[in-house]
Amino acid sequence: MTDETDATEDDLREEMLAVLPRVRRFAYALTASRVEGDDLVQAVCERALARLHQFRPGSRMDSWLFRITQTTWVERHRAERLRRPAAELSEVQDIPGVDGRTVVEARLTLERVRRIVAGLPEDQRSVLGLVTIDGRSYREAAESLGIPVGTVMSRLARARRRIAEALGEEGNLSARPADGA
Amino acid sequence: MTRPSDEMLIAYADGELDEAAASEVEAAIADAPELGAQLRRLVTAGVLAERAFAAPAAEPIPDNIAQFVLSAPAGDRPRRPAARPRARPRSAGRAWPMALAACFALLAGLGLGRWTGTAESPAVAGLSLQPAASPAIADALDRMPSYAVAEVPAGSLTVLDSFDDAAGRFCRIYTVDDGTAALEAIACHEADRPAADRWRVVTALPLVADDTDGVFRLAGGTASLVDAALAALGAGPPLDPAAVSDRQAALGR
Repeated sequence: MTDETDATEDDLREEMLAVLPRVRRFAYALTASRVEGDDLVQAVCERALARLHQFRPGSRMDSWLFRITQTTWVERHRAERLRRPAAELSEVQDIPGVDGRTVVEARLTLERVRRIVAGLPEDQRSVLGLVTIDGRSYREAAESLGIPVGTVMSRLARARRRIAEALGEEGNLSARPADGA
Repeated sequence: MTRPSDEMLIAYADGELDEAAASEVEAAIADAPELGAQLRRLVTAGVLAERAFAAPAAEPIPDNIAQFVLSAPAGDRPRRPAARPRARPRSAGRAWPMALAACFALLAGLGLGRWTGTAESPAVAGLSLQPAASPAIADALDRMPSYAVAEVPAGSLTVLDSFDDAAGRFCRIYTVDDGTAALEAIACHEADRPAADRWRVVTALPLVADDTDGVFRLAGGTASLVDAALAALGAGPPLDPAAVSDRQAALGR
C-alpha cells in the first residue's frame, strides 16, 4: 500500500492528521455525541482519502476537511431527521473541569449546553461549530458553508441567543450576569 | 443612535467589526447598561458552547483513525480518462420508458441546466436511467457497510444511510462519483426479482461539483427531493451497522 505513495501524498496525510483533533471537535459539536462524532470523523477520513487528488496543495486542509465533515453530516442527518426525534443525550464524560471550581455544577451546565446545541437547527450548529467552537472568522465560515457573511451572523446570533435563553429558562446559570450590573 | 442588534454585539465580541463599528457598539453600551448585560449573556453562551465541545481537540486521535489516515489507500489516481464504464452492464440495454420519462421530467422540472454531468456522460446516463442498479453497484450494496467507499466501473461509490421502507424493503442511499459527474440515489432490494434486478433504483439526483473543494453536493433545493422520496417510501430510521449486517445476511437467502 505504501509503495505507490509519494512524498506529497504522505505530506497531505500528515496534514490531515494535524487538523483532525479540530475536525473531531467540530464533528462532536455537530452530532453532540462522542461516539457518533468519531463515526463521522471516520467517514470523513474515508471520503477525504478517496478524494485526496481533488485537494489543491497550498489550499487549506482544515477548510477542506470541515467542509467534507459538514456535507457528510448533512447527508447522514437527512434520513435521520425524518423519523428520529432529537436524541436523548446522556453522555457526561471527559469534561474538563472549569477553573477547578464547582466542577460538578460546571459539568451539568456543559451537559445542558450540549443538549441545547443538539436541539438547534443544523444550519445553526454548523456555524456555531465553525465560528464559536473552532474560532474561524466569519468570512472563513461563510466560504466553508457557501453562504453569505450576513447569514453567518444571523445564524450565529440565533444560536447564541437560543443557548442563552434556554440556560436562562432552566435557571441556575451560575455564569449568568446580573442584569444591570 | 440605533440599538445594536444581537448580530452586532456578537460580531463585536468576536472581533469581527472594524474600528468605527466597534466604537459605535461601545458607545451604545455605555449609554444603555442593559446592552452590556445582553452582550455578556451572548458571550457566556459562546464560551459555554466552546467548553462543552472542547474535549476532543485536546485528546490524541484514536489509533484506528490515525492508522487509517496514514496508511489506507487513497483514491488519488486521475479518474477522468478511466471513468468510462469498461463494459456496459447487461441490464443497461433494457428499455424502461416509464422510469426514463420520470427521470427526465424530474430533471427538467428542476431546471438543472447547469449541473456538471450531461446526458452524454456515460456514468450519469447509465445510472440515472436504469432502474436496476448495475451489477457492480448491486454487489456493493449487497456487501458494503454504510459509509464505506468502493470503486465500481461507474466511479467511486459511497453508501450513505440504510433503512427499511414501509413495504419492508431494505433500502440504501448512495452516491456515485466518477470525478466529473456524480449522482445521489436510493435503491431498494426486492428479493422476488431475478438476481440481477433486485436492487431497484427508486430515486437518482445529479450532484453538483463544488468548484472550491471538488466535493459533490445536491444542488440547492434538491435535498428536499431526497427528503420527499424518503417520505414517499415511508423510510424508517437509519439502520445501525448491526442491523445493516443482518439485512445483508438475509439477502442471500
